Amino acid sequence: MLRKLLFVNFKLVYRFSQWNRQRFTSTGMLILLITPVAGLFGFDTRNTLSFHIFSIASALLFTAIFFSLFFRGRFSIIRKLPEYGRVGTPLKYLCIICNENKTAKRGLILIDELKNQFPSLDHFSKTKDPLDIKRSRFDRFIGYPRLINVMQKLRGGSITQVAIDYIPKQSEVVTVVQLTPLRRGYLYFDKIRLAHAEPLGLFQAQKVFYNNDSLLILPRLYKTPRLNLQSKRTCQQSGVNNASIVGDSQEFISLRDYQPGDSIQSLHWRSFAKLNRPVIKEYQDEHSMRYGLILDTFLNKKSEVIFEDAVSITASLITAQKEHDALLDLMFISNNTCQFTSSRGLADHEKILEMLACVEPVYDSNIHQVEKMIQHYCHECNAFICILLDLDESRLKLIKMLSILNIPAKFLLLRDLKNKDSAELIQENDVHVIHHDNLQQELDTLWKT
Amino acid sequence: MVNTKLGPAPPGLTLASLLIWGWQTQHMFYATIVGLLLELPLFIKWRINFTDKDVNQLVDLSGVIFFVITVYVFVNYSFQGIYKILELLPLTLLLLMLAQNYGVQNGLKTSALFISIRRLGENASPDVLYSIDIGMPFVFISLMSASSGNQHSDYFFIACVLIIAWLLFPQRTEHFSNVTWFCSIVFACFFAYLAQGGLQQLQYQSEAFFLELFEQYGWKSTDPEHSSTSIGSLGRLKLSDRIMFRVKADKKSPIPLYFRETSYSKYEYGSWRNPKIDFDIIGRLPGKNEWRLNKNKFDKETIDVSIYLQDRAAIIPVPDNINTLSGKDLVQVETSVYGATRIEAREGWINYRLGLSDHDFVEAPPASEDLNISLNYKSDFEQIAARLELYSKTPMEVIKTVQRYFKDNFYYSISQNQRYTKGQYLTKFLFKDKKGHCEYFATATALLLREAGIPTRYTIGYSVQEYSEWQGTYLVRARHAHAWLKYYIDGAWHNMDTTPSVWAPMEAEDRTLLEPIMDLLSWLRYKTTGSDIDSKEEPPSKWMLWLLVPLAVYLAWHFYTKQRVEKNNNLDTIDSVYDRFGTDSPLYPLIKRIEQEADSRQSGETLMTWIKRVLPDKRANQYFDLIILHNSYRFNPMSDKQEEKKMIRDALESLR
Repeated sequence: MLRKLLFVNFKLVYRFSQWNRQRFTSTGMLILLITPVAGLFGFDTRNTLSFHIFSIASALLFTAIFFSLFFRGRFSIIRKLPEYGRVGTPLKYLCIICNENKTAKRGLILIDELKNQFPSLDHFSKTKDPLDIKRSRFDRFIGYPRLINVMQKLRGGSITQVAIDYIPKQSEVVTVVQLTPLRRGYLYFDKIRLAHAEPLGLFQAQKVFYNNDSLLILPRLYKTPRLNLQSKRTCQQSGVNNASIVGDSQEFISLRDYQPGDSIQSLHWRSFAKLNRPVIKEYQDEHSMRYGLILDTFLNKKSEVIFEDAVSITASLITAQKEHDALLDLMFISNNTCQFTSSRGLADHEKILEMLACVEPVYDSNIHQVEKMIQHYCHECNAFICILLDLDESRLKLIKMLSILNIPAKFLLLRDLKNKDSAELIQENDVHVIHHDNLQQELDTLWKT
Repeated sequence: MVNTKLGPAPPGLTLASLLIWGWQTQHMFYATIVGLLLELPLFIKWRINFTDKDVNQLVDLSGVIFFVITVYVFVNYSFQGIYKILELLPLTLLLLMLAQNYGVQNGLKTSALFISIRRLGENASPDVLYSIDIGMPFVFISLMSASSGNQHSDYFFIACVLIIAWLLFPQRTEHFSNVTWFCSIVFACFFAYLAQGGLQQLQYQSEAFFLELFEQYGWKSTDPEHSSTSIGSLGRLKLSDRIMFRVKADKKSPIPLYFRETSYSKYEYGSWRNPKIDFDIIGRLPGKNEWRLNKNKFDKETIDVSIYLQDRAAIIPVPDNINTLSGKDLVQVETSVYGATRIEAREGWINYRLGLSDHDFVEAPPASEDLNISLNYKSDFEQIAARLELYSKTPMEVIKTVQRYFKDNFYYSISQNQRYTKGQYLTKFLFKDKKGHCEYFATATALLLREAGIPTRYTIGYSVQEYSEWQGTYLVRARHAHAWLKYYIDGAWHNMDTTPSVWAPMEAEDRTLLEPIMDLLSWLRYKTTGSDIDSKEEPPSKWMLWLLVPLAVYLAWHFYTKQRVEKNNNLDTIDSVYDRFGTDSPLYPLIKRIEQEADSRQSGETLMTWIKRVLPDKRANQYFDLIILHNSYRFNPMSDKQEEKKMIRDALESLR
């Protein structure tokens, strides 16, 4: 009940503070803060003269708001967004502002906004904020700072305000706006405000334009080396010229000696008979590899930070392979089993990254679905890379299964620094632990080890 | 890009605002010094490189200074001290302003000012972690502090307008002309002037209104000649929880239960009356603001009473064994033959001290009125007296019999639901209902004793019974108002109360839920308004200063441990830094030797350049690979230190 009451109050406080931030300039905010303080001390006009400051501050605010009512004008604004952005990397986009008035306009401020999505009480209660550990008990109990963070995450980015000094009459200006994405997925743009400060510079009159747009934000990328896993079948036929699906190319190049791992179907029987040693038909693009990239989405009670790391590493691995010939099968469990093959014209990396941008963690522990998925695809892939969020029994079972199937695999385990796994367990299963705080450096040494 | 952060205060404004502060609070010397100190960085170029940790410590120290000042001021000035704290604010913030103005950072990080952001460290969002200039807030704080001086109201208004205009001018919107800005300021100031006048008027008007309202709840002086009882009032008797007066006494020593106001002699139709009486003026004791009301020379003990007077003259509640009355606010003290004590004092909260003795205050001996029974009730009391056989008993036996009679046959009630004709209520109480509140009991007992030939007087006053631990005083509420009687036997007046003792708990059941809040408000008002009275008579309680002792211990420990940790950390850091940066490189002895032989290295000169400069080419070439190795050992964090160190040693050996 108390939580619900607090939550309702949070909404009011948040909206009020947002309104203040949008409407008042920094000096206006200072005057706004001074007013109640001066009012409090000046309550008894016999004891102090604070009521003078209170009356001046109130009159200034009143005057500023009054003069802001005179802001008039017709404008139109169009947003030109890029195709996608990346978490943490500031991106720039264009806003075209058209002044439809018969007079030029000066001193405008463009305030673009991402949609404010207020979380439900249930969502808010379940959300864990890693920064809560560093907050005081009071802040943790009240939860308002957590709400601010949740709101910021839902909003997904911060946009800088842009000053537009001058727009000639009945003409357009193009401004560059900078957005810093804070999360992956789609960001939704809501309103654009055109603000205009009154003479005192305390309060801003605003025109609001409703332009709904969206922008895809891809996961954060890290520098990753090219995949180099020991495969049992290093010379796979995997041409694409004549094949519409993944498989062996029919573009014959030459004959060569048999090497372990080559398919018997590729044997050139005539040459075998003539030379009395196995000879293989060699096709174009035969050196490409096919990797299965398994993303563990079963977060359970773990921090969302490591899930984000897992997604980022997955995206980084996919991007690193973009310039190479290997085929990459991304597999994860979302609402159902998802498998996408990329490279060699099968699917754009961007499409895969878009999938990754929108992947959400799964909170139930049906990880056996991953086992089924591996069993299904194990004959098509040369090797697997599993990005794990935990090392519990079900995941150990998964590791053992790949070992039994004799498929080369690399296991990356994402960890906060505080989590300490059994060194034996990690060593025994050849799991590479990557810590959140040391992510890039540990990725650099990934294939060296 | 739009700058959404607060800008710096215009040059000279800090000094100007501090001068206004000095002018208002009589601290002109300090204001000038501090103002000049804060403006000096405008003319000098050197700055101090404060680390974040330094600034954090300065902020903490300012917080501690503020806390110490608050405690000290609160101890010495009580709640009035809030204005003293306000007055000293610029000095408590001085360290922060100095850190900002003399630091290279040109502002303070929000993490320094707010602990919640500081705790987040690097994880804090850029939306909350940024650097702010506290110059403008300091100007406003200085003005607020200046306002506590409470002098030269009109000039202060003008000064505020000028300072704020000065502050706002650089913040104006540039696409408007200066004339427009000026007109806006004038417009605002005009409204501000009207508003401040209006605020003062509003306070006067509201004070008048609330004073009127408050007076209804203040001490209403009792009429010494007439008292209307609630005998005959229908419904539930409702007495409020409001605190009528406070009695401060040593809790260990017994406090008198009854504080009387006055007594009455004649009862008729629900009202007690006295004949017209004159008060006797008591002479003030020489050299003191003290009056002796009884014959005893010395007081056995003293108690203090605080009461809110709405009139200059009022009858006050005093115990029977009052001996002396003193208080700096008292002007005159009078007593009546019916035991009323009337004082003349100033309006509002006053304190008076009562000296108590072993003997009761001597009231005038009984007169014929004290035996008088109205004809309306005569037959009723004759009937009861006959039934109790009072006529044949000695006075002491009569007293006991009457006491037992009321105890055995009547019970306490604050409700009267049955309607009777006027004058019948006392009769119905005696013969039918047999229940009522204290006024029924006191009146009936008084008249019954008169019927038995014992002179009596109906007495009104208060029963003191509720002690507040946290306020440290007895609280006497409106619902503690009580009526009892005095009877005259053996040449003296004695108290008698036949009201069942359950009356107080029963009336307390009707207390409202708001009672604690109202008590708190009453206490705040008592402490704030009445503190002047206390402060001159009693030294301020210094016990709160002891709060500073644990604080001082904590601070000493805090700073000591911090310093120690910092030192240790530094040592560790220095060691590790030296290790990390390879200052133990075997090349250094060689460099020293070369420095002794040739010209030493100049500032900013690399090792390679220096070797090339000071050594012949052939010899210098020998060292090039060695220097590259040394640089790697010295600066490359990724290199294998042990291996490189060994290689340098080997190379040096081979050179030798």
